[in-house]
Amino acid sequence: MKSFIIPNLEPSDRTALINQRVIFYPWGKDVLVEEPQLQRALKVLDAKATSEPTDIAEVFRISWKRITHQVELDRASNRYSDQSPRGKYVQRCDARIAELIRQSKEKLDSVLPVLISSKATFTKSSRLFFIANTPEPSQDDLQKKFEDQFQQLISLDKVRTAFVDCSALLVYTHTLYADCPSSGLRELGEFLIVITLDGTEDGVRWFNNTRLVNGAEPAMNAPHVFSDGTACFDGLQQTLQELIAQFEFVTVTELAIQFLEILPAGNPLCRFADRWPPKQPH
Amino acid sequence: MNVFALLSLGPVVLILLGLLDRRLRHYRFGPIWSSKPISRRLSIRHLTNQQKEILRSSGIEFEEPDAETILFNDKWSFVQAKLLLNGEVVDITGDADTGEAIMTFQHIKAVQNGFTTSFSPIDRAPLQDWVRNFNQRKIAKLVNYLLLPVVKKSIAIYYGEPGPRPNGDDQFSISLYSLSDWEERQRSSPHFSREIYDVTGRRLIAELEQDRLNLRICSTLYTLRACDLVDDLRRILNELSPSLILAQALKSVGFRFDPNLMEAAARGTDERLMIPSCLAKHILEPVVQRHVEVYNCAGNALSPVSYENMVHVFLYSSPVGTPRLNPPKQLWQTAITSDDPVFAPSGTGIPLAADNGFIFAEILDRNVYLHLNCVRLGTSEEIGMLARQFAEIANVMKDESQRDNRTVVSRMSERFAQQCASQYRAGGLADGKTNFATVETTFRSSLISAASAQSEYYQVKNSPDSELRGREFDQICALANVESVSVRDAWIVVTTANLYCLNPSSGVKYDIGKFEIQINAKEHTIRWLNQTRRVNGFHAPHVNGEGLACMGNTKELFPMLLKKQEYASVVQIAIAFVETVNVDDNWGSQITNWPRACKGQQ
Repeated sequence: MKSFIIPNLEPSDRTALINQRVIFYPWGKDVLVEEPQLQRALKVLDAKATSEPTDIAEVFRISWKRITHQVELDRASNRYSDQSPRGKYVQRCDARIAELIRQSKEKLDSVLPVLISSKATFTKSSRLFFIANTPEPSQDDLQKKFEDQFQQLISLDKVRTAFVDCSALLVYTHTLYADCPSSGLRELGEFLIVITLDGTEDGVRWFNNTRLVNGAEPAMNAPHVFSDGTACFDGLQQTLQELIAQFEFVTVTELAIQFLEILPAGNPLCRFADRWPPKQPH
Repeated sequence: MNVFALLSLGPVVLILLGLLDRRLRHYRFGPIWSSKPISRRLSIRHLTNQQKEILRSSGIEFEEPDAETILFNDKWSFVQAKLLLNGEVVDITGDADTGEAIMTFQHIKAVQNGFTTSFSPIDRAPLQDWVRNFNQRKIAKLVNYLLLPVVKKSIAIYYGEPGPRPNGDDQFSISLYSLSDWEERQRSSPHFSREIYDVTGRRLIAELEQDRLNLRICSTLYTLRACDLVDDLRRILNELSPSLILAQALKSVGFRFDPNLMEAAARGTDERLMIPSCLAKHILEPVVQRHVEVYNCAGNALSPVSYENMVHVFLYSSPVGTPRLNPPKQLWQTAITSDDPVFAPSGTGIPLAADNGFIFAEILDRNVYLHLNCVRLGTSEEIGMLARQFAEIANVMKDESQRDNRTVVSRMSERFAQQCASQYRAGGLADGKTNFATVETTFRSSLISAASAQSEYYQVKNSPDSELRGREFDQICALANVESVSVRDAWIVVTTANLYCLNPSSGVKYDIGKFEIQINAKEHTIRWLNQTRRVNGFHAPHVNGEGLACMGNTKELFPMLLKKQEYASVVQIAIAFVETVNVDDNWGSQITNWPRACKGQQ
C-alpha cells in the first residue's frame, strides 16, 4: 500500500487530524498517512497536494497548500481597505465589538482569582464539615461502603467502566447525546469523566474521547465544556463539590452525565451545539 | 638584574613549578618535593574491540569493569598500552587511588576530521587576562578529545554568554557560566530566563519560553559549573553512551545487558528509538515470544494495530484522546523530570498502575500504550524509568490472570475503597474554627459573578462576524424610507425620506419631514434630527429640541437593541417611532401643530 509523508504540519493541524479520526503515524517531524486516509487528511487540512516519490518504495512525499487561505486573506484585506459606507459601518461595528470583548474579558479575569480561592476553601471546608458531622465508621465499614459504591458506579446505565488513577476516579461513558433546544438530539460522543477524590483541580472534568469540535472556543469537548475539560461556570459546580466532599461519587457521576445531556438554556456557549452531529436513527 | 625584577619573577617560577608538578602527576610520580610516589590505577575508555585485542595478544593485563572502560592494575601495563596503541594522553583526572587517562588515538583523530571545537563568539581575551586564555585553550582541548569523538558534531562553546539557541542537530553547544553570571543576567534582562538542565537532565531553573528545542540535552549542554567541566563531560559521556545507560537500566530491573541485542535494535531504527527498542528486546521479547516494535508517538493518539506475530509498543500515546492529565511527581520513588501532560487510559484495555496508583500503561491485545512522555531527554534516569515500566508490563503479560477483566475490576474497586478511606481518615483532622456558612456564601456569590461575567463575555464574543454586519448594512439600506447610511466616527447616521405621521383619533396624516437618525455605537444612544422643519423647537411629536425622544412603551426596547448592536431593527423601529403618535401624551397631543400632508401624499 502506498504511504504519503505530509510535511510542515502545525500543532493545530495535527489536532484537527486527531479530532477527525484520521489515522497517521509520526515520521520524524512530519506525519505519514496510508493511501486510504490521504484524501480525508487533505479534506481536514482543506488543502490540495501533489506528490513525488522518495527513496523508499511505495512512500511518497507530498507538497500541500491550503485552498481557502488566499481567499480569506483577500477578504480580510478588502474589509480593512473598504472606505465605502458599508465598509465603514462594518469597521465601526468590529471596533466596538472588539472593545466590548476586551472589557468583558477583563471583567471575567478579575472575578476568576476570587472564585478559585473561594472554591478551594469551600472544597476543603465542606469535607471537614461533612466528616465532623458524621458518626465515625470503622475501617472495615468504610472499605465495604466504598467497594459497594464502586460496583454501583460501574453498573450505571451510561457508564462503560471506571478506573482509579492516583487520586482521581476515571469514569468512561457510552456515547452520550445532548438535547439541543434548537436542533434536537446531538451526538456528543463517548466521554472520560475525571473526578478527583479530594475535589481539587475543578473536582470534575469532562473529556470527549470521540471528537473535539470548534464551538465557542476551539476544540471543545462539549458545547459547554472547554478543551481543558473544565465546564462553563454553573450552579451545578457547587453541588458537585459538596457531593465529592461527602464521598457520593455515584451521584456525582450521574449529575456529571446529566450536565452533558441537558444543555443549560440561554447559555451563549450552547449556541454552537448544532456543530455536533445529529443523533443517527438506529 | 635588580631586586624588583627578581621579586616579580617569583610568581612566574611558582606557576611553572605547579604546572610541572601537575604534568608529572600524570605519569604517576608524586609532587616534586615529595619522595613518595603515588600509586594509582588508571583506566581508559572508548577503546575499540580491535585495540583491546591488540592489548590482549601482547599479554597486557587489564580488567573491564563495564562495557566502556578498561582498568590497568599496574603502572607499567598502562605505559605499555599507551606505547602499543600509539596513544597520546590529553589529561588525567580522578583521585589519588584511581584515575582516568583521557587519551586520543588515530581512530579518534579520524573521527575528528571535519569537526571543530570553537569558542563562540570568538573572544580574544586581552594579554593580561592570560589565565582566561589558558583556560579557554584547555577547555577546548578537553572538549575536543573527550566529547567530540562521541557526539560526532562540531562543538561551539559559549563562555560567559547567555545560553545559545540550538540551531538544529548539526552542532553541539556548550554554554558555560557561573552562577553569579546567571543571577546577574536574570536581574538585568527579564527575557533571559529559560529552562536550564544540568548534565543529568535535572531541571535547575523553570522554563519561561515555549521553544521545546531548548530542552534537548543531546544537542546542548548548559552547565553552571565551568570549573567542574571535566566531571561534567565525563557524565555527558555516560549519558551519551547507550551501552552504559542500557547496562545500568537493565541491571536495575534484574536483566543482563547483551550487546548483540543492542546491535539488532540499532538496525533500521532511528537513533532516539534505539534505546527503547533495545530495552524491549531484553525485557519484553523473551516474555511475549514475538518481535516487539516500538513507536515514538510524541503525544499523538494511535489506533491499535493487529499485525500477527508482533507486539506494538506506543510511547507517549493512547488509542484515543490527547495528553490532558497532570503527570505524577514521581514513580517508584524516582522523580519525573517532565511536566508534559500525560494520557489517560482509553478504558478499553488492561490498565497497569505504578506504586502510587498512576496508570502508566494500558494493554490492548498486542498493543501496549505508555502514557508518560518518558524518553524526552534521553537521560539515564529516564531510561531507567522506561526499563521499570517495561519490566512491569512483562510481569502482567507473563501472568494471564492479571489480564482477566474481573481481576481488573476487583483491583480497581479495592484501590478506590483504599483511597477514599484514607482521604476520609485524613479529612477528620478538622480544626473546627472555619465557619462553613460564610465559606459557602462566599463561594456561591463568586460563582454567580463568574457565571454572569462568562456569559456576558461569550455573548459579546459570539456576536455576528463582519460578513453578517455587512449584510445588516444592506438590510438597513433596503428598509422602507431609508435614503442613505453613513458612518462618522462613533456615529451611524441614517438619512430618511420624508416621514408622515397618522393621527389615530382623527385619521389625519401629518408631514413631519426628512430625518437624520443618529446612532452612537459607543454610548448606545439614539437621536432623531429633523432636516426639514421644527415645530415649537421639536424635531417630531415625541422628539424634543435636542433630538432625544420620550420613548413611552419603547423605553426598554431601544437600549436593549442598541446594546446588542442590532442596528437594522433599531432603524426600523426608529422610523416607525416617528410615524406613530400617542395623542394622549402631552408631547403627542401637539401633532396638530404639524403641517398636514398634501393630498397626493395621503
